[in-house]
Amino acid sequence: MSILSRLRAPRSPDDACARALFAGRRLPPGAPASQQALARLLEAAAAPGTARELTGEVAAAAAFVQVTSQPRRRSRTGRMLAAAACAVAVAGIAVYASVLPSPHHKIVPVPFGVPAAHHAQPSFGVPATRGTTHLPFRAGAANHTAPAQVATRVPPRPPRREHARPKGRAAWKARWAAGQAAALHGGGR
Amino acid sequence: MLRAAAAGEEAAFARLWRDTHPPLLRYLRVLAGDRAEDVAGEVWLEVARGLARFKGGELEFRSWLHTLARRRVIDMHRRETRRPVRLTASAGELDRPAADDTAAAALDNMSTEAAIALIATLPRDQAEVIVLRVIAGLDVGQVARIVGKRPGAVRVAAHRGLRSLAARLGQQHVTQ
Repeated sequence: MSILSRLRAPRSPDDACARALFAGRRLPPGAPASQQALARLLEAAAAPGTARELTGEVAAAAAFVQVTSQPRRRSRTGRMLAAAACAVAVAGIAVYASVLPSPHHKIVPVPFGVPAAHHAQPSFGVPATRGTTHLPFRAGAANHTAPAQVATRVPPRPPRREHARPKGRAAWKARWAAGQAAALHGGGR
Repeated sequence: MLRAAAAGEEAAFARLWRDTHPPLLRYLRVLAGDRAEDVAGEVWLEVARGLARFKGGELEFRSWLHTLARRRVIDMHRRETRRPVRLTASAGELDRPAADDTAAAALDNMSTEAAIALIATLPRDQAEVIVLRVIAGLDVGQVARIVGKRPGAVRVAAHRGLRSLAARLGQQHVTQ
């Protein structure tokens, strides 16, 4: 044991002494004087309340009576009203969610990059010319390269060939008129 | 007594106050100094408001009471930090006895106030733990919950505080 620790040892209470001090028990007779003084100090600190400390008893009791006699802030009626308001709000949200218009249902998958149910053909990153859902936040050329939008696009229609035979009622009429003219010319010869 | 006080009986509350106010006031003297009385008043008002909802025995009540007190003191310190009050030094303030004088007074007459004043000279965490353990009579677990530390840290702080007190008292013995 060094000199320093020997000097310090009598002043520092060991575990048993500390336990006795905290429990309010008396120290053994052979305890050092500093620990005896410490025990007296703690005993004095934990002494019963003095008259000076207990002067506010009447005021404290009066405050207690005043506080306990006051009506509760939230009465039963108030709680019932709050519960009714909550129920109405929840019911309104539920009704609103059930009657959402169909376009809203269609655009729901769009922000998540999932093709909507009405898009029959899968897309493979081809730039869109039609079929893209137009939303306000999608406007602009830069959005055409966003991966979330690529998945929702429909493959474009191939470019119209100029030499292909026209289709439709007007094309059929034109072909019929041309045939008539050819027949007339042929008959004329 | 607690149940009666929770039911609103004034006499039971007065008895509860008599039993628990002195330790609370001493604890607050260590933490809040001169404003201990004001903080204690706020704490008892809060107790009166929440006593009807309190569940537990006497030990739990003491723990709750000191937890409320500690929160009030923390709030007070926060308010002071936001709006610091600058006091001009007066002759009375400058003439306040130092820690050694407090120890001498505690040794001389061992009055409760002198003992509390000597404990208050310790570092705050040690003083708080000693007051809660010795004066409020709480065990290590409850003290740990109140001060927000582990039980081991509370034991260490208590032991260091006792050692410091013993050293100061020993110095007084030597000088006398």
